[in-house]
Amino acid sequence: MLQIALLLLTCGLSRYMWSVNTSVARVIISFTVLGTLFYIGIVVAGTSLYECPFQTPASIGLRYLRDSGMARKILARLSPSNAIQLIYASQKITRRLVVKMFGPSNIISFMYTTWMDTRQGFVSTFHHIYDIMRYPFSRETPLSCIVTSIHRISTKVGYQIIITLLRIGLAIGDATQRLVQEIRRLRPAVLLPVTTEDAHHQPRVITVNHSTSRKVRHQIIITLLRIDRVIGNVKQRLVQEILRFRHVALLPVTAKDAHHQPRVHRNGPGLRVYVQNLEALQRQNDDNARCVYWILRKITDPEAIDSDIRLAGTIRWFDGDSNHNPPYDSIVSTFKTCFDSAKQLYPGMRDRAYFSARAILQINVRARAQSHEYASKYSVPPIPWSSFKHTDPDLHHVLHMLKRNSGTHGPILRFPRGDTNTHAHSLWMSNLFMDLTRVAPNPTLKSYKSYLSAAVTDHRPVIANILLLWYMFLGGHVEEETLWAIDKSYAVVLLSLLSGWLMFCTPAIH
Amino acid sequence: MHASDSLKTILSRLSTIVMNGIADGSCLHHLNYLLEFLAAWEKRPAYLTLMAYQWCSAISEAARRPSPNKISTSLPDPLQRILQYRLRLRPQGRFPITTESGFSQVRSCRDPVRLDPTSNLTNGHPQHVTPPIYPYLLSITLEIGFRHITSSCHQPALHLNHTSHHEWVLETAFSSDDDEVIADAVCVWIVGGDSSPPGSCARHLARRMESGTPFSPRLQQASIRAIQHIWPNELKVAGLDTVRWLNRLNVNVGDMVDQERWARLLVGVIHFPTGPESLSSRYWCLLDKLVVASKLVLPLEQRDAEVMRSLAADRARD
Repeated sequence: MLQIALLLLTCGLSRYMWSVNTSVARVIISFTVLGTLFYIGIVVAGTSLYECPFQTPASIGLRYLRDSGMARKILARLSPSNAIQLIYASQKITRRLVVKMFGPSNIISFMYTTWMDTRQGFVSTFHHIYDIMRYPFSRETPLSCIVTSIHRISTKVGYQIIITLLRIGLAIGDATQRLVQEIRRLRPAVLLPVTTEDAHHQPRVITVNHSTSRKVRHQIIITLLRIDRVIGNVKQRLVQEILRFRHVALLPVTAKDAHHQPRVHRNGPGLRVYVQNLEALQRQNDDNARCVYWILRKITDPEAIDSDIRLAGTIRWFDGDSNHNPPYDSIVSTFKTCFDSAKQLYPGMRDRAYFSARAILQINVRARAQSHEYASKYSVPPIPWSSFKHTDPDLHHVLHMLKRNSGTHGPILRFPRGDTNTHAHSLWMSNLFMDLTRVAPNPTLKSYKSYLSAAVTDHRPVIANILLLWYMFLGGHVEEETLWAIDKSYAVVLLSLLSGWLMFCTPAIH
Repeated sequence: MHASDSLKTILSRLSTIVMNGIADGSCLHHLNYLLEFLAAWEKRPAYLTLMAYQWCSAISEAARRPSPNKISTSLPDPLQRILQYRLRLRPQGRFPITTESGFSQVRSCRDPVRLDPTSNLTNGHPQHVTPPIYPYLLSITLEIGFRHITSSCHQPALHLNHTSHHEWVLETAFSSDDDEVIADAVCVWIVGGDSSPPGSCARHLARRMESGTPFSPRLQQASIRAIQHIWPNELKVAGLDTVRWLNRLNVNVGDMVDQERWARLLVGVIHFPTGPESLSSRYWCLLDKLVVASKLVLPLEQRDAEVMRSLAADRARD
């Protein structure tokens, strides 16, 4: 029952995915077919050999049928001429289908056709069972009905197995035949017996042994070349398929620069903190941007959305090669759903409200860095004072920042308190201040007490960020690389938590 | 890159820009906030001491610069902020006892010089600020560089580049009524002892003692440590002041980290021309204790040794 349930699940998943995205569905179908074939192989092996270590309930049942002579009785009803005709007909149909549709080298397509035929067989069988269940008394007796249905099912299953095995054999035979034909076609051109001339210009024929060994060597070389070419073709097609797959269906891909030019860095006497893994950080940022963009449009799972919004608050948007606009409207609407009609926080929605507020701030600040058009496009929504009720210090502070930086307010840096706000929040906020100060060099500083308390807590990354802020306030120029060098520990922690889910959800990220 | 390396890079670049900011007189009210932040940073790195001393030099240069026109900037009420910041120094509060309105608006710091319409009247000089700001900046800068140096911790010697500004720093620090600021200034001798100009420490401390106000515990400890570092040069240049200073310090055996050094120091005072008469009797007794305890062989004359033993015996009888 478990195995049937699994099969039905994969069938349903394949069917559903085919309606959503054919490319993804192809992958799922391929895996399903492979699994089914493997299972069938195990069943066949388990049925034929008692010593086979892989015994399944189906193989035990089939072996019982075989040993009890029931199978012989069933097969005896088939006349040899009918069986041969059936086999030949199936061979022809299969060959025609395989050659016409996919070609002999596409094993996935072959398996797919096999699977579809098998599926059709199963569907008709299930229809039959359904008919029996629906009209149990249309036959003479229930017992005879059950026996008849088992008989038919076993016959159909047996046919399917035979057809599948024949197809496999046919494909192998076909491939071998083609290989032999190819070799024969090439042999006259390449492997003709060669004659040499002696010193007296008298032609002589090379000995048979010598010529045979040369032929064998050439055969080996040709075969190796062919194998290499086939592998190369398969690899190329696979790469093309994957690229097409990524382009069309799953995630947008950053196109590689044709000239392999490095990123342009601003040169100047600015403060530069060297980053060893800058390129990796930038790549990761681009991947994260694509991931957030994709998930918020394709996935409806609340946990996935929460994780995605959490990630959105750590991305340097509109930076690097990625030119994807952030899903700002989705994030804003998610943020708004955390509050009731009186604009008070729903119980249990703290995390979602906090991280979506962070994401809004992050996107807004990054948009300000681009242009006025972007700044107005990604403006901070109005935050009523009632939203501040029943909030913890971190959420309270981030809401304060949203309120202070919404509408026509200029950039205001309100420092988090070192004794009540968490280190992660303070670090994230100091990173935001860096970007905000870079965008608008005349921000207003608020909360002097909190500002000094950051120094008292001795959280080095926060202190480094505040010192960088002062460096910019005092007229210093900070290189772009330095902004990437800011401690990303909060993002790393989040990514490690998210990695498992993201690997499952977006296999093309890496 | 390691976080501490990044921090050092940032601080070194920031130090340069602070020096320039102090030198051209602009953005001093911004520097207040930065320096107060650094002063509030309790576990600040040791290399900040050298930077802070350079800032002291820049502050001194800016403060002593001749001013053709006394034009004050629109500083955000510095006296009120100084008072506010002082509250932070009270030991009962871990966090500063200040109001949330500590910040005035921070604007682009380079603007006041360029955009101030009166700047043309200054004939190319940067505009000048109200006088109290420089002592205040100096007090915070000294705190940043030297507040963490206490009697218990071992501080590696640094080569502080003493220039003519040193005297202004001392004058300004010792004119303060805050013993903590004076102790910070004294710590300059502890850190860069050999390179400091001789005589000034003893002279200023002796003057401070004549005011009659007792030393705070930290100033007392800092003075005792400073004596150990700068004694020979001080004695040569300001002999009598040095002995007077020593007499007022009331050093105990427990205060002496290096007892042998202290014994040789006291012998040096006795060898000084007016030393035996000037040195108080308690130091004679202290020297006797040190000789007995450590069994040192000191180059004392017979007469001095007899005086020492008799005074010690008299003190023991009392």
